[in-house]
Amino acid sequence: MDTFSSLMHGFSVALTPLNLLWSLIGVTLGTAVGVLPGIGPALTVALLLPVTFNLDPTGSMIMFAGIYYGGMYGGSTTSILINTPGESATIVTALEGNKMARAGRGAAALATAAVGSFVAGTVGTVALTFLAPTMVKVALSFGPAEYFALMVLAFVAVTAVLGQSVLKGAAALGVGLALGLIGIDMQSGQARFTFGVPELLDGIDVVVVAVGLFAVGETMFMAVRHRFETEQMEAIKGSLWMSREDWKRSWKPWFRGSAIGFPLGALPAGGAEIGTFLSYLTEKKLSKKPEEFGNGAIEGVAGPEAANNASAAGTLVPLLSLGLPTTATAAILIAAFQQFGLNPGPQLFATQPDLVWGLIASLYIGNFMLLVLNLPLVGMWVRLLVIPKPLLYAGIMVFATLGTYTLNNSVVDLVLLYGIGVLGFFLRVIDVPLAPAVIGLILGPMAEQQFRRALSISQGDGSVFFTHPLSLCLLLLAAALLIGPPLWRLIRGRPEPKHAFHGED
Amino acid sequence: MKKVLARTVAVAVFACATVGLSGVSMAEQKLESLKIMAPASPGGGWDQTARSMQQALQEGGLVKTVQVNNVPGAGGTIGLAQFATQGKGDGKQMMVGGMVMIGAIKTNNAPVGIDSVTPIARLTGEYEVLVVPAASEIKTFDDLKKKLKEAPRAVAWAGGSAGGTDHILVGLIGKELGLKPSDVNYVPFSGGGEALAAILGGHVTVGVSGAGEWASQIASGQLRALAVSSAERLKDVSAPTLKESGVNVELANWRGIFAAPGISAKDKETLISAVEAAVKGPVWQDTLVKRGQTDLFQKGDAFTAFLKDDQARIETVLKDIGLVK
Amino acid sequence: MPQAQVRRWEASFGVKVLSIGGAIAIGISSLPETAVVQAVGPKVFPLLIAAAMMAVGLAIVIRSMVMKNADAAEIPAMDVPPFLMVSGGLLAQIVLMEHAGFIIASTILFLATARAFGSRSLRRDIIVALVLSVAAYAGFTAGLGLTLPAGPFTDVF
Repeated sequence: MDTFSSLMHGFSVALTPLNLLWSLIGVTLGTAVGVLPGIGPALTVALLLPVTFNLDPTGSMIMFAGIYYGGMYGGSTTSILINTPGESATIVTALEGNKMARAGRGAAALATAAVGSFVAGTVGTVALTFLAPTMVKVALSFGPAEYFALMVLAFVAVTAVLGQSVLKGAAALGVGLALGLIGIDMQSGQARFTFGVPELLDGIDVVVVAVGLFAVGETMFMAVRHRFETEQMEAIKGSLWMSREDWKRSWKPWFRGSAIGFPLGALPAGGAEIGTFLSYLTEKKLSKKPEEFGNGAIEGVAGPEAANNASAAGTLVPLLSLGLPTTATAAILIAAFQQFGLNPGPQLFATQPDLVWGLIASLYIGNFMLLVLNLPLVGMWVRLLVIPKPLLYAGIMVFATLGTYTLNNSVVDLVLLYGIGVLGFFLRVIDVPLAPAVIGLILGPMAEQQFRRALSISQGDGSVFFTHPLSLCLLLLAAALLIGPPLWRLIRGRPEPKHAFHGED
Repeated sequence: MKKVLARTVAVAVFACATVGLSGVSMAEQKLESLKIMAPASPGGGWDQTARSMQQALQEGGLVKTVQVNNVPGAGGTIGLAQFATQGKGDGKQMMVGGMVMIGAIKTNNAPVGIDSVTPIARLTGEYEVLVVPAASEIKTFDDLKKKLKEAPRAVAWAGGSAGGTDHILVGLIGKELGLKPSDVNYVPFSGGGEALAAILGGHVTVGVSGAGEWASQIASGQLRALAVSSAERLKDVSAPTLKESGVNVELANWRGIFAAPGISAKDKETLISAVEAAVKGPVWQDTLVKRGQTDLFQKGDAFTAFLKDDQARIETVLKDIGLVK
Repeated sequence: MPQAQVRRWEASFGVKVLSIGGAIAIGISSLPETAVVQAVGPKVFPLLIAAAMMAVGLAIVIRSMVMKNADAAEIPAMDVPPFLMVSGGLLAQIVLMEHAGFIIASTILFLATARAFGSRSLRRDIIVALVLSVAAYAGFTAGLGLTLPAGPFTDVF
């Protein structure tokens, strides 16, 4: 059977009323947990595993995949509306999205996120259907040296989110990198900066830092400022929907974001976040109005949102074709397969065509359902903003602490949340951007581990980064992005811009 | 169909509540309620063991309601510490644990050891497998041995985190082959397939993992299994044992279940017999088959004795590797 | 806010960044040597980060001294009591979570935060807080099978 007829067969499985219902339950649940900070699809699927023990495997897997896709949709909502990312993959979305919401353009931001998610989810699923074997080859060619080069590239992308003052952005990045040092060093098994607290041995969870800096810090900042900002935030100024201009500015970022997010999602140690950073950088570099970035540029929502949804599809490539999990959610999905006595991998396509192709077909359907579900919700979500501020922010605090507590069922995380929240508050007061701190926390440990792994494997020979062609390409690209623009200006004889990049990492 | 539909709706509404509703009607209720702690995040190995035990106990009619709670962190030592202090003397609590916890107690220098809780039973185990990518020039374990003799550090071993089961196995093999600990180039990868990707991509020489985890890649021919760490050959992985290959090492990543410290002898008996009945039941046996795990049931005093030996063995390896002083 | 004060904030921020860098350098140097043989040990990256932070901190301090007034970021006007209210709510929740349970702890956090935003209607806040925390509790324990501290309501749910 060729791919196309397999897919058609898959649709015949996925379109049965019962499987449609599973998909609907999945995407609805996924959207809901995606909205809540700290509660993600991985946890939800894990907790639902025992419940589905006696159910039909195809239906259950369709539901789980729906939760995964739905979680990626939902995460952007709180990022945009209340500057509180629901998932770490939507931190970048908050940068421009929240600025848009503050300008009364929240509906347009939510809409471009929803349509972009649909476009990217569909592009990603098409790529998953037809390009999986090729993608797998690319993904496997990434070893530790290549990953380190990719991290270098991602660090360059961070320069795009440093904000007005490069020095302050660099300081925030340093804070994130420093927080990332806490915990057991994986390569040597040694504990670093754990101060004898066993709860710190596993490091500080990204969720605690993201929720602390953004949700708690933001709430404190709004609280101390509320007397001085008498202007009630307006839910909608102008049109409810995306304008013609918005469409024109969004469609290219959707596709570019998909193209960036999908392959990065397929990488065994990529993750959804890196794609969003790179997409943001791309949009900022390509934009005709780069000065709008930081003040609510719709491209900065459209691109990263597309990237994180495409990466969810990308994750399924190694999962289905190799049985290789690349994210926490994917690892749980493997556990789900195993619960039904199935082992994802090349044989699964042969032994369980109904399940695999039904699952893939359900992704197309689930994506469509998510669009239909989320577009009408846009109108409802923006009304969140007209909830009186005391109730809105009090509610945010309850959910922020709930999400944090349920990570490890530990009060230690609440203490960390408070400390990081206060830190976030003070950083906000002196106008230090917060995103670099979270990015530093995510990228720092990965970069360190991959760097040391690469050198362990090469027995200390540092040339690996330059002799591996892929690694060399990535490093050259990073170098070009870093020194290219100033060099170009130098050649053209223009004066140096005010916010030149100062070296950091 | 109707029944399935009804279940579907039930899942949507009550998610977890459905588990408890089926098959509790058996007459003999030995225990009213029980709590099982999984000292790991939902979805992980210990969590799965805890939840399978929950199902086996409930559906076997042995305990009316079983609650699972997760206290993840630091290789299970955070859960262990909490369990040992808060559960003291309570005969209605159990905790899942295993070999990884023994290692974590040593490497993290944890304040609460496994001796502070009451061993109930060893439940399951998973043997380890050594693999190379299909394209590798290493065809057999002997080829690997030869490579190790020529240039030991050129052989990059990929496995899980430092001090975990995989690392311990590599340490044991190295010792048996007469390698210096500094000659073993072990590269730890975080879970979730990173090591698998590095092996499939040919970035490392040899990989170590639980046999079940990579069984499907071995069966499809992408990975070649060189040896397994069991005493007898395994059913689902065709490879000789380490012992057959001249390395006297046997290692199973075992999981067991423990009760709180200071419980009465009667409570201990009740828990042991409930667990034993659950393990013999169809629900548990079915799960073992599905997950490809080996039944290593061993109860009470025999388990306690095993624990003592295993602790000593693990501590020695970790000292050799340099993770424990 | 007067420029001098802005500069003081900036300078003190720079000093803090500098001292975090210093603390990392000192902390990592006191880490015992590991017996595990590795190409790159566990101290290299922390030292790089420490050096970078010290450099950035120093640069911020220097800039705050030579900064032209126009370059200084504005420090916004702020009230202190709301900050203390939110802080108090969070700290109360930390203390109460495992003793009084999720519902009570979260209700107090909610009330404190609402008050920090100038809410005057205590009755409305209590009702909303209880509805929200009970709904969250029920959704999590019954819906997802998570265990949240029940407090005195152990028998109700």
